[in-house]
Amino acid sequence: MTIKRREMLKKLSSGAIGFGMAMGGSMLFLFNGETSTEASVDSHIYGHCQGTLLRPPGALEESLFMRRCTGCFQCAETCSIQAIRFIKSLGNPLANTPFIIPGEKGCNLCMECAQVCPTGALKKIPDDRSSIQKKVKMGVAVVDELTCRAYNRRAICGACYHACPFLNEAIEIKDSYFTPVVNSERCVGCGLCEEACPQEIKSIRIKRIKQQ
Amino acid sequence: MLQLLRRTVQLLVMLLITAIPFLSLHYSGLIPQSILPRGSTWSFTIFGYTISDPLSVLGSMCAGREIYIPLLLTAIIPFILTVFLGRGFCGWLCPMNLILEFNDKIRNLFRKTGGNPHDLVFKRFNKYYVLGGGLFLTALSGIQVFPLIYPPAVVGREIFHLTYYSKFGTGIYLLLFILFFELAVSRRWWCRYICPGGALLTLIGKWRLLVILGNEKECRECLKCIKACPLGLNPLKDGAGIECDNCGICISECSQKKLHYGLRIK
Repeated sequence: MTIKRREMLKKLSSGAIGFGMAMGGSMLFLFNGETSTEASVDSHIYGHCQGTLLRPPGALEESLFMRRCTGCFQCAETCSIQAIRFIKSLGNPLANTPFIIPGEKGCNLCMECAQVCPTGALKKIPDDRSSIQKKVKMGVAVVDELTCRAYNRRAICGACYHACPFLNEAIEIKDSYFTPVVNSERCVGCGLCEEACPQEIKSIRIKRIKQQ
Repeated sequence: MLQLLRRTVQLLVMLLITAIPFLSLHYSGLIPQSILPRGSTWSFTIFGYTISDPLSVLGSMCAGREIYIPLLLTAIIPFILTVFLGRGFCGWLCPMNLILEFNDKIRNLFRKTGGNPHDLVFKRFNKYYVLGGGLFLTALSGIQVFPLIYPPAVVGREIFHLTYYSKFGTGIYLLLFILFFELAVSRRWWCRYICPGGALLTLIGKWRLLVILGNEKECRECLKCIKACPLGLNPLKDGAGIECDNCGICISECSQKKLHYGLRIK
């Protein structure tokens, strides 16, 4: 009788441990609220970081991206400027997928990450000016006119204007203070302007937009 | 000799997945992008050709609920190799297997010096539940479950995290838990009973050609091979069964040298 009970216990525990491992790991992700809010990610891991999180250029729409990406980190290894990063926290729904923090390092649009992605989570986009401008839409730059020094006549800055890879197309200047005006049709959201902004709390930010 | 070869292959794989993040972080300017390999055993790119773990392909397609042909093609080489050679990835290439084999040596040392680690035995069928349950959850939630719990993927990712961010990711807790559990509670627990990747490779290689053969009449029943088998099998009976990973430890352990690799003839 006791042997039977022991065998029963063993069977039960084996099933429980095996399944628990699979369940527990994923449950952490399932019950963690929304899948792509900037606030949750910022407060979880990069509490110090001001700014948004972007997907690498050519990324599919967010929910599709999460489904496709297997977290093989080949895009991060390919990125020659280490702009693509990975989230470490297990409790975060975005964990194990690549992202870019434009406030720290913008994307230089070399399009190598999409070439190496095996899952198709990043669409392959040819590395020429017109197709990048047509197909890449990581976000759109927004100027905070209240804090921008040029808008407030505090400095002749032009940092974002000169950093922009689409000079005079995505960011144009209004006057001799190099006051930036973003053309949201042309802006691809690479984040080089945000990286270049000399303000501690950036006056030009990339805002994530919903892709078609 | 065979074990020396196997150990060399295992160490080379380990060296490769350690060197790749290091090279791409520090020497990406010196080595051309097209030559430099990328990734780990989870998904590996060299000269523009990608080889993916069948489990990653299955997981990605299950989560996306669609078949993406370029991804499917990356799993063809491992798939064909597994069809012929069985679960050979586990014994010969898996970086976690290398770590767990050394862990097992520590366990033996522990035993010899008077320790008494438990050896719980579970059902081998559990790993298919983990595989099925994981696929179900992946399809249900749209979040990839296997990269988080599949040790070869976790090992590669942890090395990447360590190189790029100078600290481990969260997966290290899983690895430490497995190491501890196998040390104290159940011998080679993960590979035998839990691993979803091993389960998938076992299913793919069910009718494999390369098997371990021996003659029961010549066996002196010294039981060395059974004691040595990392998967807890009896090579004479199960050498041609589906669970064997063709690591060949039993071949070098056999006191009569009567076990050998062979082709399954029907």
